[in-house]
Amino acid sequence: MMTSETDQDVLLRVEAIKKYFPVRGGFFQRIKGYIKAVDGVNLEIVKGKTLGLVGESGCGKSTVARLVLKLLEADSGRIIYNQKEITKLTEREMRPIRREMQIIFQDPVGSLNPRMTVGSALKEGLMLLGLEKKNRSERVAQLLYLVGLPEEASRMYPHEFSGGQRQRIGIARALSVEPSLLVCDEPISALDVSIQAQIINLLKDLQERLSLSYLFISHDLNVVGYLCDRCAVMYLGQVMEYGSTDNIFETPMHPYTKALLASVPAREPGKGLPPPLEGDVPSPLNPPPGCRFQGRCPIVEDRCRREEVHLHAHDEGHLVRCWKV
Amino acid sequence: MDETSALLNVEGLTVWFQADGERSWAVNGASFSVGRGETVCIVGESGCGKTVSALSIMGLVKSPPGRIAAGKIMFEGKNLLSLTDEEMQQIRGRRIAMVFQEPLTSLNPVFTIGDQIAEAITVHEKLTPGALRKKVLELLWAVGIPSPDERLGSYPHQLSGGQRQRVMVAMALACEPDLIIADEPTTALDVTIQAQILNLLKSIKENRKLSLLYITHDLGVVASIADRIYVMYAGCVVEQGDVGDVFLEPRHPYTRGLLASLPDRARRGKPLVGIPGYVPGRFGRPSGCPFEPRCSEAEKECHIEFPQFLDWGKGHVARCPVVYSREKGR
Repeated sequence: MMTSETDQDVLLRVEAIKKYFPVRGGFFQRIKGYIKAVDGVNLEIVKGKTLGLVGESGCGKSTVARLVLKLLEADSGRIIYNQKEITKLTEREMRPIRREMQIIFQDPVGSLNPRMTVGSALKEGLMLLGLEKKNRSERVAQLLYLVGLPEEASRMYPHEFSGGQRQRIGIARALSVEPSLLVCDEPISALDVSIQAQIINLLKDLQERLSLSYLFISHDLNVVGYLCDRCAVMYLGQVMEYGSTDNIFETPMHPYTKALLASVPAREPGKGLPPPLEGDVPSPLNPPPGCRFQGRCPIVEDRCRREEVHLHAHDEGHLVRCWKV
Repeated sequence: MDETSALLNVEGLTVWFQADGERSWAVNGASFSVGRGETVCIVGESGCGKTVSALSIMGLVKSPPGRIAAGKIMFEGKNLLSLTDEEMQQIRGRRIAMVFQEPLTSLNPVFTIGDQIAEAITVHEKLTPGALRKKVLELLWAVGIPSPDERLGSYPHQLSGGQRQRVMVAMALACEPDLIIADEPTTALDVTIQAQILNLLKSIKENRKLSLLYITHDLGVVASIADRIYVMYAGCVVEQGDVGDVFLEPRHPYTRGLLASLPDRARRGKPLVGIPGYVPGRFGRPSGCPFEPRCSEAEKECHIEFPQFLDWGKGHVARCPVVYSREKGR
């Protein structure tokens, strides 16, 4: 087990989950290889808390989100929701649990039907919930109030709103079915700075009021440091470091975590530029042997190039995938 | 900044676009300058007019629907707005070059990067094939592309995002310009790659004694590279000054709101102050302060009169009489 949390406190546990996408090519579209998008990830989301999943593009963080929600089928590994394994559930058995896990996306427009008023989009969720027709309008008004939109919004169409307002609609839609877990996949990345702050405040406020648990996926370390209780740092389909936000930000152990934190430009003038980490992220189609980070690692040794590295506990609840720490 | 020594001096730039019979004011009398060897940042949120300002300097505002209604763009004493297309061609690329946010849309997918960089050179300079190849290799080497002679024949899709942006920088450098305008060049990149490109731009700027006009919404990037900054809101410059002065003692409620909106570890557990309301649309021009509808400090006059710049010393000015009358002299 990853931490000392008792099972009752854990809302969602992911164990050694894997997802390989086949790459086809050639004359008969034969499988040429696999993209190892997620390669043995363990995670734990504690009730009422926020787990941050950080990493650069292509590290597999969004694939993890889709696996957790069972929008994608995992190749191996287990997903345990509320002490119940859901990995092998059929679509039908999954349906009552789907209600409890919702997702908000980076671009809410893509998840809203342009020909449906906001009110009718929200009512769909309420219908699935089995709420009586006469009570639905009242609930829509409550939901809009909850996310800070005026009541008139229910009669308007998605295109009539600004980006920040649309993300509020996305949140209201997710909350309409009263979930316990909200997966937030880069929910503020497309928004302006002043609007980002509004949405972050809203997410924090909703978490307290509705005791929601969040899986918060982001590439923005400042946001993750502000919002999350625990963090997992991903690189090429694997978790490199996992621990409390304090662990990760104050005593980062893995060279990748250190490099990632050092790359964020300081907001105080006069500190100069962040030191660059050399090289590009390798393709997940041909990840390097041994440690995934060996090609860019400043403290690489021969052993890192040969042997696969496993996550090991550095401290209570602080796990690192590196020999050298 | 001494106006006479400025390389680029934009005065009262006003640009509108005609859409569905309505005028949309993208830039509303913005003035800014870039001195020789200086890195100047324009900061603002989407729709504040920062990109349109850059495109106006390059003469790339499409007309119609766009129109530069007023203002002067003085580059080395010449007003770029009064030049003919041929004269502008001599400036664009050769004296002022631009790097865009998304290199994939600026690179041609069916030509190798070697050909594309060579084209950027031959537009302005006639060279023998051997000299041309040598120059392209030098440029690729200068922007840190590993093994340039192998990369010469690569197509844009074979490069990573960071390498494509390096190729864009190489093309911008092709004719040894005096000024590079970079419009959100690292916004689409990962943080570790962003750090690489920022370091590249900085070293190139220093080695080649260039000036850099850098447009971004990322205040962290601004703090780490800028000498001076201009904060834009709704087409107007609302505050300007040395980066240290503006960050440490912001004098406009919008700049203060922006800085207070930033989440980070130090602010954990406290709600972010942020700015209420939404970024305004561009249709219609309010007569008063453009920020007044969202401003927590607004008073009655703010709605009526467009605020003038008020001086806080050392070239630090801000368009807010409310903050000025309360805090100046304290």
